[in-house]
Amino acid sequence: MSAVVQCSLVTDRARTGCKGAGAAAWLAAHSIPVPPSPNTAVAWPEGAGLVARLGSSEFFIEGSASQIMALDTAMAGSPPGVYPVLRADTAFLIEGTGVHEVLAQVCNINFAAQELARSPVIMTLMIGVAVLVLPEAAGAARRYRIWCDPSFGEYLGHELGVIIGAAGAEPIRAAGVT
Amino acid sequence: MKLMNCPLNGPRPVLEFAFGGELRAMPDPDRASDAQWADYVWNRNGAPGVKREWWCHVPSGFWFIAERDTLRDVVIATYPCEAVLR
Amino acid sequence: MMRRLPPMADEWIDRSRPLAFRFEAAAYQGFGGDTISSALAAAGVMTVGRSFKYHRRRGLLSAANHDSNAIFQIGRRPTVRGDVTPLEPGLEVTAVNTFGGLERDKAQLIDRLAPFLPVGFYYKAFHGKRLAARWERLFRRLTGLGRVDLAAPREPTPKRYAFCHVLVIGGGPSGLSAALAAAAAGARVLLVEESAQLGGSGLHGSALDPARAATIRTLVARVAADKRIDVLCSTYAAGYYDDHWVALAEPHRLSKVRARAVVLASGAIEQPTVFRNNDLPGILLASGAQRLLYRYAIAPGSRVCVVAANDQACEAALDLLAQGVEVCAVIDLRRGAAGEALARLRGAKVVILEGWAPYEAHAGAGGALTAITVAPLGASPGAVVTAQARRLQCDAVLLGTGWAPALQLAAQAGARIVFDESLQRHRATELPPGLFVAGRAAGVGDFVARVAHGSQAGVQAAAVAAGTVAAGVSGGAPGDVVPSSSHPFAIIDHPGGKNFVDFDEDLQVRDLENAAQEGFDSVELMKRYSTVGMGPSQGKHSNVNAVRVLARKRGLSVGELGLTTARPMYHPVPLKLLAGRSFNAERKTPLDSRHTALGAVWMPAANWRRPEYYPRPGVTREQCIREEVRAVRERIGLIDVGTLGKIEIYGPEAGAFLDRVYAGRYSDLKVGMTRYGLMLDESATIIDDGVIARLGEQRYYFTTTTSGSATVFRELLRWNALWGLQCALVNVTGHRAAVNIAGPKSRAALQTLTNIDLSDAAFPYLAVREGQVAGVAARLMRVGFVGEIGYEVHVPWAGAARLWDALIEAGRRDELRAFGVEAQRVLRLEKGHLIVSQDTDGLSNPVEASSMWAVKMQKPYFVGQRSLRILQARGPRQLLTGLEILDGRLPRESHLIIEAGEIAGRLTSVARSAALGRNVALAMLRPDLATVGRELSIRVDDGAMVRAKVVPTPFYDPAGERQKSGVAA
Repeated sequence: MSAVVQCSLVTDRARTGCKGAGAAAWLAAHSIPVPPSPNTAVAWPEGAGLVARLGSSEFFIEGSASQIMALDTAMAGSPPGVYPVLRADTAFLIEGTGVHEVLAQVCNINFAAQELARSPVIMTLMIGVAVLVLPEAAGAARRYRIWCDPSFGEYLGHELGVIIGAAGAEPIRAAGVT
Repeated sequence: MKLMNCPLNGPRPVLEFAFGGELRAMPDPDRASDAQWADYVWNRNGAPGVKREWWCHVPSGFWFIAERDTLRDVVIATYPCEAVLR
Repeated sequence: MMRRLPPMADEWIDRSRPLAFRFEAAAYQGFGGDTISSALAAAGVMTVGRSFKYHRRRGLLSAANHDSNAIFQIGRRPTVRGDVTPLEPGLEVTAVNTFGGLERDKAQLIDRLAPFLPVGFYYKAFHGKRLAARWERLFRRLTGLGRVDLAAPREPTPKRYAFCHVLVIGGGPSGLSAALAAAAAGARVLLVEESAQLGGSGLHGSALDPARAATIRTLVARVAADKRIDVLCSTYAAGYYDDHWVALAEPHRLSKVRARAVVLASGAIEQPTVFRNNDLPGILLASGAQRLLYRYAIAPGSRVCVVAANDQACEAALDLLAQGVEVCAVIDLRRGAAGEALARLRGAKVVILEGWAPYEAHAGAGGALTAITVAPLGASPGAVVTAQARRLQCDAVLLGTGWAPALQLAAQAGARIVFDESLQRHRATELPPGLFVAGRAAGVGDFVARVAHGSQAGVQAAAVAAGTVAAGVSGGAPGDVVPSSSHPFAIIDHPGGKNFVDFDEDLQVRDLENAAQEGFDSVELMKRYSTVGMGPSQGKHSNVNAVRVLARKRGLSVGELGLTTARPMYHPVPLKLLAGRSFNAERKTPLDSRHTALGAVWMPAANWRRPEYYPRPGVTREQCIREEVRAVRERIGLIDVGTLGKIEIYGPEAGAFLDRVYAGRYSDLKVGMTRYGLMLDESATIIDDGVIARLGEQRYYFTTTTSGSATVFRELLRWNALWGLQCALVNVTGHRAAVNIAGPKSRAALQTLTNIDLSDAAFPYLAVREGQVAGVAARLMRVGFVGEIGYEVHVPWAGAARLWDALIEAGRRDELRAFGVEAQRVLRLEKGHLIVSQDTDGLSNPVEASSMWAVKMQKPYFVGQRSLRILQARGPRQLLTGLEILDGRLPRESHLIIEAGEIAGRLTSVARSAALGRNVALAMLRPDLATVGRELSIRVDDGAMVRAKVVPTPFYDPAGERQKSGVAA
């Protein structure tokens, strides 16, 4: 197989989360776009981060360090019905012509069939680890952001690297591709 | 592997789900006799048929109710637990 | 003898690419595109293996992996399936199950002992205990297929998930047309074929109907050009699971395909004619001969006799004639059969014996077939008129008397397999929605009809996949009703036996009859007793004949007897494909690299790895652990407790929720304080424990055990969904780190890193504070698990390493030691603290675990409360009790306490305590014995008894002065 797959560690981005019955309204009041339906995401700020709605009342947010810090500070004031969710996830960005073949070896989701127009975020299992996956357009192709509990990060990264390496491509690099 | 339709996450293989037991009404602990309470705690209806059960989509921690025909091994329907609890 | 013919039009071999290989040390040459079987056949090698039990010579039978005659060993690779394994240059191939080589196999003498090896021999041999071990050694030596090299390196192979709209299993005429039709209807199609190339049996019978070859070529070319069709050759569907989930065994990986609809075009498996010596090399299935002819240009012999009971066998005879191979006779079990193939054979002046059957085959020197005795069929099934027997000289016999549709996968998918008496074949009914059976698997025999039938199935499958028809409308059209291609009883009796039904297991007709005679007279019982169908080919060539034998014996029909269950795998699957890469999801705390730098010895704890202890040069494990314990008792120790479950709960009813899920009360806990928590299930069994900290009016943070964290959190979510209280749970187990710094000097060391006032007045025992430690936002809890003043420090993942390094540095002056799980176990045991699931088990309630102090029975409700009331009234059956071991010898955990010859308890934790200067233990003990001062006996490994006595707990610092005030006791 001469497919090229690259997996980058992109944990460096700042992230946070919140949940609770008041979370959606609170985010909107802070001028943060709220994805209208469960398990979808919107870009925020455009091209540099995202707001993902996990289920109906939990949100996962990535952005600049200052934006995230501002949100965390605001949440520390215990607004009613808004509960902070610490997110120390390990984050991967995986892309390349063989990306679907690599994902097929670790996950039972048919990623190629996901409709990007719906902006889906997918909560699933990847070789035994609960992950959050965001498909993104990368030109005509696709790339995927994968987040997991940091205690599983080394394991998931290692196995992805082995699989990518077996496919003849370069293993994981720690560059900050965003 | 069997598929189950999670009301939140859509159809997924059963590998992604954890079983939480049959949905059963708890007797009033203050009124139930010891025997009635022990029956609730220890006895389960194993006869095949249509059951309402707790299932959890593990990656999202989402609990819902599945109606299964355990005789035919068919998932008849799934729905959020609010639909039956409140 | 088999031999290579001049090039055939559609042959699979590449004659420009000769490949040298060795078989049983002799040198041979085949071509690229050959299988091991075909290369051996082309070289004239007739004996390819020895049979499992009698070590009889065996040759090619199906050339399609339907039998297990052609199983080889190639170096470290055992059980290589020669019929489908491509020849590679330089292969060193050996036969399996021989003693001293294939030709001189010393075990062939067993064949003469056959009369002394009755059916069920293994069971009978093992019946007596005395000789069982000796028999086992002998059987293990004499039987089996291939050698496993335990030193062979692991070759991790991928396992992958795959998806398609329509999966087509089988690349023959019906499979090809099904794939094309489904693709034309818009479906994404995956077509799998076990052989190296597409076409199936499509070319068979081309001598009669040359148009078949053209049709196959067109179908194959159209499939190759269709971008909606993915093709996997050399791949078989190994198992069919729920909701169209099919395991595909590819040469170097396993694919698990989820299809929306499936077309099963798996064809039919030709069934051997049963007669004496029907297993001699040179006797093969008619379809096997056609495969060898069309794919590899191999003639089965120079003078061939064809045994026929259907048109396909007559077509095979024509196929051979067309290539100049002499057909000496067609032995047709039928009488008065019509058909174009038969007419053409008559026209070619081939001798046709109608109503005759083979009676016995004969071998010459070297075991090769030299002749066959044939005779007219008699009045009853299985009988022939031996008085009229004739002997025909020939070097090959083709068997073409019956077929069994390959419906194993349909059965696995949930279809019911029934027997059609009029057509003498099985048929799949009550197919699950979305499964369609096409072509010969559905009983469609005619070539043109197979193509049409596949096309129809493909259209239907595509419609199901697209959701345009209700998936419930399914089943596939029934096959065309054609004259039966299977003789009802092509099984000929012979007083000498050796008329084999199952070639894998060396089973003769009389073995099966004897099994029935001995009472194993249903198909499932007969299978288990005789092992028919239990060999590597799983009854593909033997199950139907075996049922026919049983049916005759019992005077029942085949349909009345049924068929054994066809379970996965369809073919044996190499274990390495099933093993895949063997993922093991291991969790690591953010301090993992720090433990590695300290040289930690690891131990698994749930799915985490944790330091068991930190070794030091020249010091034993026990000494190391003792030093780590002493550091905590006398100075200062640091342990990573980040594997504890860590949960936040928010909301106006968070306290009420905790009151319901824990046995203690938390709604009245003061902000800034912590309290121990015991979690019960509805039967009042202890399932978890931890510490609950109140951080704010509507904000709690609590820990769970390492092993319970995932399941406890899930169950809490369920309770929350059920009760609908106003609160939200957040699992931060992996996102937060935690360490415990403990020991008389821990407070001073920690104080250098934080502005939080650590004095007893400002931060008493069991308090919780939030603030900065070493510049990291931290939650500090004053805990007493190890019995010294100590602090659990919880920080976000990102700050963990910084915290750890700072604590190590701050404690350096006082010789801080990092300590592992083993030292912690000793420390807490000295304090008499229980560990849930070590000192408790699936029956332990708080009364028995001596933990009622942590239970508030007067609360309105908590999980397990009602059951606990009953248990409290009943009284304990055992009590968790402290013991001091009186003898020098240290018993082990789980050793039993014996009182008056009866089991009276068991040890749950044991340790040598340096701090106490004695050995202590916790035990679950019969309550009447649990009185302080009572002496007991513990039975240890070798049966010796060790004395102990009941003592109060905690063993160490009973008043808890050290953890509460930090003063040295």
